[in-house]
Amino acid sequence: MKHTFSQSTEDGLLALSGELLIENSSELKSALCEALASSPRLIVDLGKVTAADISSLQLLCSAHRSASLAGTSFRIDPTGEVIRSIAENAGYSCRTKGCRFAIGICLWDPEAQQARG
Amino acid sequence: MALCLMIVDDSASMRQMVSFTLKDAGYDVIAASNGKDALTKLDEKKVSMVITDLNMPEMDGIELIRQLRKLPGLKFTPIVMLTTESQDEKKIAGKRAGASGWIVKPFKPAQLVETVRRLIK
Amino acid sequence: MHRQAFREEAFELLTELENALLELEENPHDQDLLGRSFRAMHTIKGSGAMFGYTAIAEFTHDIETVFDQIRNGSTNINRELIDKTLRSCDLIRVMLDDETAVSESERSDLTDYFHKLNQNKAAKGVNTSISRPSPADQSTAETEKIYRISFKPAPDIFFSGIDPLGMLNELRLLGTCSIVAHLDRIPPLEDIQPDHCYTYWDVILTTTREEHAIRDVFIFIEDSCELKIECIVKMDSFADEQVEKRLGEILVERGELTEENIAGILKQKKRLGEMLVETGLTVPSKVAAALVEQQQVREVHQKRQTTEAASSLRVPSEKLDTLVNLVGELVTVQARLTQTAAVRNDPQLANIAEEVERLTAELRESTLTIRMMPIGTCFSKFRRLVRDLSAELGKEVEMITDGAETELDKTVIERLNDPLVHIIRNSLDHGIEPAEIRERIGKPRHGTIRISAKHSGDSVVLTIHDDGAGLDAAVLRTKAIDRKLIPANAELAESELFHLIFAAGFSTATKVTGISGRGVGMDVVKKAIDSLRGQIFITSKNGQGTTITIRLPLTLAIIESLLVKIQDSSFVMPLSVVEECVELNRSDSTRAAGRLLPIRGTLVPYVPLRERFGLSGSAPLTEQVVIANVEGKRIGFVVDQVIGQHQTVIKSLGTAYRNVAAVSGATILGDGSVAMILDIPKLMIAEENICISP
Repeated sequence: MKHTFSQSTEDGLLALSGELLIENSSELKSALCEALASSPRLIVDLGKVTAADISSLQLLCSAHRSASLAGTSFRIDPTGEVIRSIAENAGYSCRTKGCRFAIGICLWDPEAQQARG
Repeated sequence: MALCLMIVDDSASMRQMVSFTLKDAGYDVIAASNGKDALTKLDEKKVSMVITDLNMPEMDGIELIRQLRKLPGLKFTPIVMLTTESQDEKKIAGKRAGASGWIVKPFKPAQLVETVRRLIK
Repeated sequence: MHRQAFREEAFELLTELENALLELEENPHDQDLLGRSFRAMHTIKGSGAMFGYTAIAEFTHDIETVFDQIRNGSTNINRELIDKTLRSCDLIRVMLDDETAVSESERSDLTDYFHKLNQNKAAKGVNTSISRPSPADQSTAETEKIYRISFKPAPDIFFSGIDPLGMLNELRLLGTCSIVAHLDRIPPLEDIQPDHCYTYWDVILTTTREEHAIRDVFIFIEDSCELKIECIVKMDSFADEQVEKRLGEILVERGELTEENIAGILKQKKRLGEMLVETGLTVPSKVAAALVEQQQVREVHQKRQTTEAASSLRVPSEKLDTLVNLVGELVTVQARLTQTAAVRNDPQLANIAEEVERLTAELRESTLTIRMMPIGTCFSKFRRLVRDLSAELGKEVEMITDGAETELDKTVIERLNDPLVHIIRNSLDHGIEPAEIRERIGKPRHGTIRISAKHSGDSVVLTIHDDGAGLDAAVLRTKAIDRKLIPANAELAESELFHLIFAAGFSTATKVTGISGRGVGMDVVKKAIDSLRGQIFITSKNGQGTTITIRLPLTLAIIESLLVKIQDSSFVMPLSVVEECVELNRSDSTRAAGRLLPIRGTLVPYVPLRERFGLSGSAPLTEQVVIANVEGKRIGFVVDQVIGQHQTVIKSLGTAYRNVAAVSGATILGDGSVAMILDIPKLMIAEENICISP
């Protein structure tokens, strides 16, 4: 797993690539923590992720929750095929409405993802 | 690149049989004859799964599982125990040590492949 | 290949074991020696079984167990034991070469010896072996079942090298799967243990496999996760009423909520799912899971219906209507072809035309049968009506149906509903007496209404019979005179009096009830039946009941008719009402005599349609009179020419023609021109009114 964080005028961009697996879960957690702490508007780029599992999906959800609590904007863009299909296989993407732990729509809502392109 | 699996068994014929079956199923296989041997060989190569017998000289299967789970690279790797019908207690001990699953001897090659496919990531 | 490798290995092991045993005689407590002995036996047993040496594996089993006990210190080693073990080694060597070389009796003393040693210890319960059914289950029953699987893995599942995703994927292989992950336990980033599993799942699985096939997926973590597998629907128990569970029911069944929760929410009349989440009673994923279950059960049910209907196909009725229309047009074109062939006098073309005519007729027949539906579909609605009405009226009424399988054109059935409802209401309201009265006059307490249908030639006959009070001819007569429907001195037969109830503005109920008798009388029923080109009759016996008989044509789409011409206009008359055709000469003196035609001794009134429709041109010297008979009344219609019998495909007219009483539709003729279909009963009524008024 690789991660890079960059901050433009408004948005913080956390680009994750490679394998987001349980082996790297601590690393992913710290990357998300740091990125959330550094930017009030965070975009997570998952387009170059090659593998993922439940642990990484959970962490992204968790980050979304923390962001909501802190009033930080948090979104995934692009989701990427790998994450999209794993979220679907794991039953993450059948939300009907946003989860009550985060403001607005769910990270995994397929329609919301589509709307974002 | 084929995934690499390790078979640990003190019985040469078992090692041969398991290696043969798994290679046939498209995996690379490293064989070790006991726990100690396994730990040494794992230093050299990264494996996606370990299949281990329980009763072995030098270091038995349960201890091997315990050791493996301490290694950062093998913390979450699937480990399959080879047990016999009469080893329920061993099975439980193995699970406690961190084994992912088990295969009961005697087994057919197809059962082995099925279990590997079930657990491998 | 592996067998050979095993043999070599086993020989080595046996040698090693012998050495160890000999050393053990000297040092009976040497743990290393004991371990080596045990492992040797263990490998011989385990690998032996692997490579097909079942007799050796069996034989070694007890020895292995004994050595395990010695190793644990629960059995002591002695000379006899070592002797017996050494002898066993010899036997195993022989068996490795040829398993059959050592007979069971030869090994029996050794087997018994080790077995006994074991049994002495068995009370301690050292070994328990649980064998589970082989995962390779033979799914003998091919019935699909729907399972609800709740799977909550232990938080540390990742540390056993198991990925829950793999299990979900395995479940997918078993059948159709809907998976909903519950994320409500995932804490915010500050509190999350990245290598713990917080997610848990609800899975709805439709499969032909048995429950243990599902359990097998979780076999390795069965004792370390929360797993609930319930079969919620078995396909063979798919009774219709239980199919659609409501969202609330599912949630209660799953133990997520209580009935009270649901009831409270339902009072607020919003979508249940949204409300439950808004009020915090549950989380969205639980609702999603329940909705997924509902959806999947629905899908399976639909699938089953499709399978059931495999021999009969479901087609949208519009498609059928289109087909009938096309066949109608084909009939029309075929008529033109036949006509053209006749005009050309071409025998070859005539042959083809004949062939086309035959095929068209067959096609028409089979297409029309497709539109047929059993009349029972509308009977079932009446059962409810009878039940509700009799409760409302405080009467006891039983409904019996007969011939529910009788088929009728679906349009006819649809349009039959209202008139039948009216007839049944009348029977219940005016016909069948209250239970007390019935009892007093010696009738069974509960009245019976019998609706039956049967085929009769090219029509279907429906009868609605009740065993109620029946009609009183005298009362009817008085009423009819009161309402000026008949002259006070009219002499009418009983059947004619009964028929009066179909007259407009006639109601036999002395008091108006909410059920029938409020303005809408039987005349409406008659009109509806007329519009279906059917006929309605009534018979009754005072005190014993009333029977209403309805005769309906099988189909509305195509009728046999008589094609006639006036000047250049064509008209068709349904053949069912045409009785005969007679000639009318201009010179005929009867013309002056009030337009009556003597036909076999009776005078039949006639109507010149040319005049009636205001058509231009003058009538030919010899006109034709078509005598129609509607419910026993005869009337003649004067036309220029009778062309002959015609297969008429009925096209309904646009709204512009709705109020034209004389025509009921139109059809396209062989030459492409349009002909109006005459509504004979209506024409007749109109003429009667004209006749009576002066």
